[in-house]
Amino acid sequence: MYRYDDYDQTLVNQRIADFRDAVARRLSGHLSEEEFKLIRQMNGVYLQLHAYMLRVAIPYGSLDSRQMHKLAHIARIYDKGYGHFTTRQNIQYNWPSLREMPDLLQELAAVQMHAIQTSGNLIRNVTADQYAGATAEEVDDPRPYAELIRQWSTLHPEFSFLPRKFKIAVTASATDRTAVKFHDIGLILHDDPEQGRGFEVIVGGGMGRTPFVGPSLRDHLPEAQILTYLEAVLRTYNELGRRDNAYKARIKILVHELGAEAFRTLVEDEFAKLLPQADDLPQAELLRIRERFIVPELDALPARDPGFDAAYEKDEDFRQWVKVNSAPHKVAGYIIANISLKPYGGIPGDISADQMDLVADLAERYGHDEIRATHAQNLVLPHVKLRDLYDIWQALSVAGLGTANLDRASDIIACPGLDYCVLANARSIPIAQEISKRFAAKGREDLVGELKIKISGCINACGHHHAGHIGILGVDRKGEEMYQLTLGGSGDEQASIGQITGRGFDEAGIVDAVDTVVETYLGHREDHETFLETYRRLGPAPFKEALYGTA
Amino acid sequence: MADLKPASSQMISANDLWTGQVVFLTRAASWTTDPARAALSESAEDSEALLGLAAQSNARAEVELVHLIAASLRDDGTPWPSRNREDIRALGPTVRRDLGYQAEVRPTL
Repeated sequence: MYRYDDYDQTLVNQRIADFRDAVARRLSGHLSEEEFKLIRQMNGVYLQLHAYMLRVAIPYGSLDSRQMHKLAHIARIYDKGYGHFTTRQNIQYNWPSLREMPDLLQELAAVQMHAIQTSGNLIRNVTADQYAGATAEEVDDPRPYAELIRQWSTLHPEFSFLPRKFKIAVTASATDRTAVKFHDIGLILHDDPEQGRGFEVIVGGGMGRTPFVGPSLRDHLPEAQILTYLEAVLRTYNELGRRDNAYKARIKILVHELGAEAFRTLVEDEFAKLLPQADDLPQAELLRIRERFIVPELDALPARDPGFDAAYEKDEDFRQWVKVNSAPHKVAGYIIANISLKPYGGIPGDISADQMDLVADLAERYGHDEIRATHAQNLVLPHVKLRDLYDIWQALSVAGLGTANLDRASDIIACPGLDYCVLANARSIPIAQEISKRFAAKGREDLVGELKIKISGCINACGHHHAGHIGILGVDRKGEEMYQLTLGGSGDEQASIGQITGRGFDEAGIVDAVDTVVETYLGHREDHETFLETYRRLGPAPFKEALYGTA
Repeated sequence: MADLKPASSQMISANDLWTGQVVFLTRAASWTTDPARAALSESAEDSEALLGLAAQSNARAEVELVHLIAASLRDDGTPWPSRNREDIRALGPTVRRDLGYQAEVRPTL
């Protein structure tokens, strides 16, 4: 975990004092609705369908038990007993009052949390691989780089009023868990045998109305030049990005309209201008940030644990959970445990205050005090001992957090949709619940294997439907909720955009349609093919035929 | 909303500034959380007049996001939002019947 220094803490405290003043002036009528709107949005406060919504930043998805306990406390005192983990590793509260918002933010600040970079046309909270620091796959822990970018971009004077919001993800693993190619900028850390450490830089990916898998602008950017290069990209975008049309204002549109080559040339020209006088990332600064990360001291343990082996042998449910929800750790005797926030028939990403407290307790007792939030709306205990895993799973199961469905059909990403969101055209959550129930009832998730279903309630695509193996987009057809189906999307290292199958379905029909698609896959798959592999081999034809007939 | 036909019935909704709670304008120029007690406008002139009252309330820093919504009379003679989105907004999340206005009125239904 990164610990604030005095500068970080002062910045957050001043920010709250400013916001408290602005709230008081709005409540007393000295600020108009329009004047206040910009201020509240800059502080993560939205006005949604039913109430205010506060989005709290969880930089690169990392938090500790003290912070999680605080999130639970806030859910109890300022909200209605729960929170919602988002598709950008953040948490949202659905019901806080404006009057209490400054106090709420003050409570967050006490545990080094805030809502900066969670709204507005600026560089948003930086996301990173949830297995950072724990997986053997990675070149290095990507979070110090993410923290460096966070510090550089926070309240950046030049980049606080961009044409549109701007999202950056950082990963350092071959397996991409961050949807890195769907970001405004995606950074992939690598060690090149000849050129040393650097980043592949992907620019102009995104979802929304016009989805793009981002092109790679640089195969290798030396790590020391990262901030200068980001500055060159942001400056080019800030100058040329469209401000006349919100739907065309993201950098992906600029990159697409200019072409990746032309955009690269502009960026490289700017970069060349900046480089001679650049205050490049000094290694000392990175070192300073690294030193402020509390890296857990992991014990030297044998690779096997007799207690774990015995529990694995005798308890079938535990065995299943370990198979589905755990991942190898880089250190012997340790394991990465994924906590599903997708109970069968539940609301994706929702978590009660009591559940938050439990996760915090488990992290503190067994997990070196580390918790991660994932963009798939789940949680992770990144450093747990094999010998503790059975205790952890039992505690999770009792609390409804032990569902063994990571990356399975019921592990559905869904935006809040028309149940909460002012932008939505259709509800997302009930569709996710029905699909999840259907798969649970049939008991065939295991048979189906990896399948990522993602649902958005409007074209803004917060539910990442473009990147779903099966994607669902809710639309409004003359006041009726209808759902379009897309197939073949993927948010991993081989990113792809799902293709629309054909005409849409109503609320009941979309659940049947997903069922039909999965049945078609099961009928056509060869050997151990995943859904995506079968789809990529066959293309859409057999699925369309099953959905719509041959006519 | 601008796209509503002048002939269609309307009511005025907003969010309480302090709490964010969904509210509807009454004939008495007060705000209620119960759409059934809201003023139903049948004419463009009436909607205009009600909007004027709502704007004054907004200026007094009582509500945010004042807007006209389509509404109609139910069988019991009380008005209610006619569009799905506003129905959800009036009641609360369909996936959490224990929250929102629907949770308050449920025991008496």
